[in-house]
Amino acid sequence: MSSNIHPLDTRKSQSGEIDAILRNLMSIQGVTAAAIVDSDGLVTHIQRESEVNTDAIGASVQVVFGAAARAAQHVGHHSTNMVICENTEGFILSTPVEAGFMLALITQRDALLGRVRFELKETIPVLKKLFSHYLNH
Amino acid sequence: MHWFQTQLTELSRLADEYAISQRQSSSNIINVSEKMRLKRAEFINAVQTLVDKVGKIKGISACAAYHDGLILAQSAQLAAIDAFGATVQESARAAQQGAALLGLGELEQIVVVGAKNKVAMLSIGPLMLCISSPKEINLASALNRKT
Amino acid sequence: MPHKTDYQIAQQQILDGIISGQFDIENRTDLGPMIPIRLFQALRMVALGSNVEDILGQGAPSLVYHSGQSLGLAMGRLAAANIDKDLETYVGKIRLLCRQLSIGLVVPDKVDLSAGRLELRVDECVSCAGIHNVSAPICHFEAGMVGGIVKTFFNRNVKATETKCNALGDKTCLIRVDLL
Repeated sequence: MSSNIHPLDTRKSQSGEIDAILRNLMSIQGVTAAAIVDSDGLVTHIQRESEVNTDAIGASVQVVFGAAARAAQHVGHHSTNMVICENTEGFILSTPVEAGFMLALITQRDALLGRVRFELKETIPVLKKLFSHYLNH
Repeated sequence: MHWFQTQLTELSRLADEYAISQRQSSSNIINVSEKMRLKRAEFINAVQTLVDKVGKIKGISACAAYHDGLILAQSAQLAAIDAFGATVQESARAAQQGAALLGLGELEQIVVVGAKNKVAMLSIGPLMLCISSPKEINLASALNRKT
Repeated sequence: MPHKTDYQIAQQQILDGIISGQFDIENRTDLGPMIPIRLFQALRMVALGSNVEDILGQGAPSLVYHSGQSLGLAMGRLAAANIDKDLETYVGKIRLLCRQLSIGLVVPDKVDLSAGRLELRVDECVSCAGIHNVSAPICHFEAGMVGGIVKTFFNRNVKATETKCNALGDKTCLIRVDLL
């Protein structure tokens, strides 16, 4: 089992650009919450329209992504870049960032999946750089 | 230059600007991140605006933009939105292979014409713009009638 | 009222048993309430460890942390009753409860409330006692539990991180809790 130690100064990273990125994701039609989840399932940053159980969603995102990534390995798909849960009332998309951190988006059913996915895909390289910057300084 | 061609040129310019912002050096990651976000928003908003405008043109049934076969912008609720996306992706893949075999250069347009309707797919940066209309409509003149 | 699953029914009975402080248990008249630590460790490190990791990969620590946090929240609710928000009394009750449950000997190491940081030692940690040569701290359950305990008292989100682990050769498990 991997280490749960990440020398991330969460207070430092809470300011500025990460929150701006999450706010930008929230501006997409149908997106109701955007969150960064650490390797223990703790939500370190979140923008949301309404109250969500952050403990439960954080752990669930990690667990679902972990299970999907394991399934992908079993069928020789190597690394997992994104997990999309299609639900009756919307989608949950999760993408790995860096050092076990994940970006999770919760949307309503009317969200345009391609729009949300495109934005996630384009956002991840920047988030990776931001996190790697924070983790190394 | 006709209206629609002008719009496509503008979208291509915005797509290029976004691509350039992605290649910026990352010495100040926060500035780079913000600039990329703004450039992306500019490009995507322009795509949505064009999709809305084209969707309203007389003779055009629907207009939508796709990324990797998934819907990114639409003029109105399309009944067969996923089928549309699957068609886009399949057509693009086949056309890209054909274009490579024949040395046509980078893919710009695909048109699929059925007995009743037709769909034109135009490549814009990382996206595909799709326009559907009844078969008998002359797409070029319909799109260029918009002023 | 949503339907409770069988696991939720069992969880309620187990937590009620802990909260009542009655550790004697029915249907164990001969064997009694205690079990060998290796059996607990098998459940913790095999069932809730390597087996879960086989299925969930990197999601496993998160599940284990969340499980520990659930226990910590229940313990916190028990300890927080009738103490008028007094931290020392709270920690005293938690220490006693952890000893009674044989989880470990909980000792506050550093408490800096102005910095929003607490460090608690778990000596003789039930999960990793007698385990050696791991490459990283492995007591995610205890980290989650301590996180849940602190979260309950301060009513704030916390991040609990195990920074020292007996299984790493540190002689104790040290859990740092940051109030967020």
